Amino acid sequence: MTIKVNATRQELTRLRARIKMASRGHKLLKDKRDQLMKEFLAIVHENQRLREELESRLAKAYKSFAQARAWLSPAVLEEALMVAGGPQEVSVRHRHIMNVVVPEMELREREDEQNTDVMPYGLASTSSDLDDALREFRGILTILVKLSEVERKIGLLADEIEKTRRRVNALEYVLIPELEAAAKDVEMRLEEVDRSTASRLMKVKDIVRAR
Amino acid sequence: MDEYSWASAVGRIRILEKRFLSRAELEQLAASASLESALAALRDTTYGPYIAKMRGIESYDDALRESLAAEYDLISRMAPEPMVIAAFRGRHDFHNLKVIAKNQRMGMPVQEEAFSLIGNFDPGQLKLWLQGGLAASEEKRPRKDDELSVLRETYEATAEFEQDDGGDYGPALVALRMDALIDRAYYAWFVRVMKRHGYDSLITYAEHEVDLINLRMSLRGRKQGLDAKIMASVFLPGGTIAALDLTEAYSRDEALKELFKSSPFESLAIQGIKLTAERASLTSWEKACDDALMNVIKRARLSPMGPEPAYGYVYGREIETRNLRVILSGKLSQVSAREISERLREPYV
Repeated sequence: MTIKVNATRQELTRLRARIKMASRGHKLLKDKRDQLMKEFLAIVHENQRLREELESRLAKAYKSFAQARAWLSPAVLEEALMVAGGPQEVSVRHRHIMNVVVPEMELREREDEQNTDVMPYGLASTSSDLDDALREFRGILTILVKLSEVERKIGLLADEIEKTRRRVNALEYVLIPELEAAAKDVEMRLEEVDRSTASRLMKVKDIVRAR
Repeated sequence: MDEYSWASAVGRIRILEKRFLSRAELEQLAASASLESALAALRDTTYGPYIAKMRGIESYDDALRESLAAEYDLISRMAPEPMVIAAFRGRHDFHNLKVIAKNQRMGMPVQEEAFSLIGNFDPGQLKLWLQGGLAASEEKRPRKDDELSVLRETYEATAEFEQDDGGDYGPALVALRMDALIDRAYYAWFVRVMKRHGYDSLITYAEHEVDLINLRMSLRGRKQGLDAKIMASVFLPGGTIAALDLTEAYSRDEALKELFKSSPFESLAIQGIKLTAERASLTSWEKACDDALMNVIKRARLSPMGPEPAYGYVYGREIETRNLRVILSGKLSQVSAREISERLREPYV
């Protein structure tokens, strides 16, 4: 698609102003994309670290739980885990990264449960393996909340990077070249008009001089 | 106390003891290629009829439970003083009481799968009786009415505890305190029954069991960050070391070591305190505690007369059932034979 404009000096000035604006916008968007990429990569690394930690802690938790399950009878295990530790609260705040609103989640300690390491069962008929497993699972909950925050951030930043990339490309490969082509076309036409005016004037001058 | 009345039962139990799986047999089972082959090997043992009835290879828990219940019934029938066996078996009734009391508190339907089916009483009947659903005429009070009255008193205490609670604690702490209340009631009654019957080795066993549980609880309580005030309501009565002394020494390593200094579990206490200070796993240490208790029972077993062999037999069966569960669940989860073997408790024979 080409930009159709009148070949006037006013249009040329306007086109040059648009090129300047588009180039500035292009630079800004490129900077934004680069910064988003930097943030994105940092978050991706954080995500990778969290996933690795989650996997190793899950393996540890399941191992402890399997040991507890092997030693305690199913009835004892069912009874021990009848009462959940109570609801957990997650606070969500928002932060801006290059104009992208991303969530920040935090697992809050309940005020009525001062000691979060307390297990919801008696100690006489259960084993320390069950304590270890539950402690690990509770620790995993914090990682899971952090992981969901990070994965949401990744999703939002990836969308924004994609949008910004499309805008940068549109400016770089479509708008700016078209504006430049239009400006060049106007310039050439204006030069043509100038040349024809000059030759016309020279002709008129020759006619006047011949008289 | 009537040691001679046990003569016939002891004779029969000596024969029954041959059915126990030895350490070598357990190791062999642990080294089986798969769960199926371990179950196939069990078919040739006393567990055979129960293994044969299994609906799927993963329902080994039902088979083990049925086998254990049958052993309890057998020993209870031959025991001239069945209360000695019933007192040990009563821990399953008190477990069921925990399920009933907790469900009552949370206002949710009773979770049948949480019931232990090897107690002295049917859990459904026990629930009806505790909640007053059985009319006086229908109420069949068995010989162990002593246990029933303790169960009812404890059940009523959990209801009062509910009202006293006042919501100061989170659900986890409430559940812990309810379980502790029931555990305390059970062990107080258990030691009382043993003392009433007057068999020294059983009294020693009961007291040692309480001591070891208290030691384990004190270390786990520390790991959980429970304060001495909470632990005062958790420590069991009836041991050689008073619950009050344990509460006072709870948070001090040296004081705790001092308490166990004159007990047979001194080295276990030192080792456990060290592991807790290092925040290390207590898995192997708990196994050592179980083995220490088994050694107490094994010494009592040598008695030619009296209830000790019968008592040791049911205790040995409980441990064997647990060992088999460790092996079979290990096979199901493809745990190595070496790891399974490390987790096995000292067998009775």
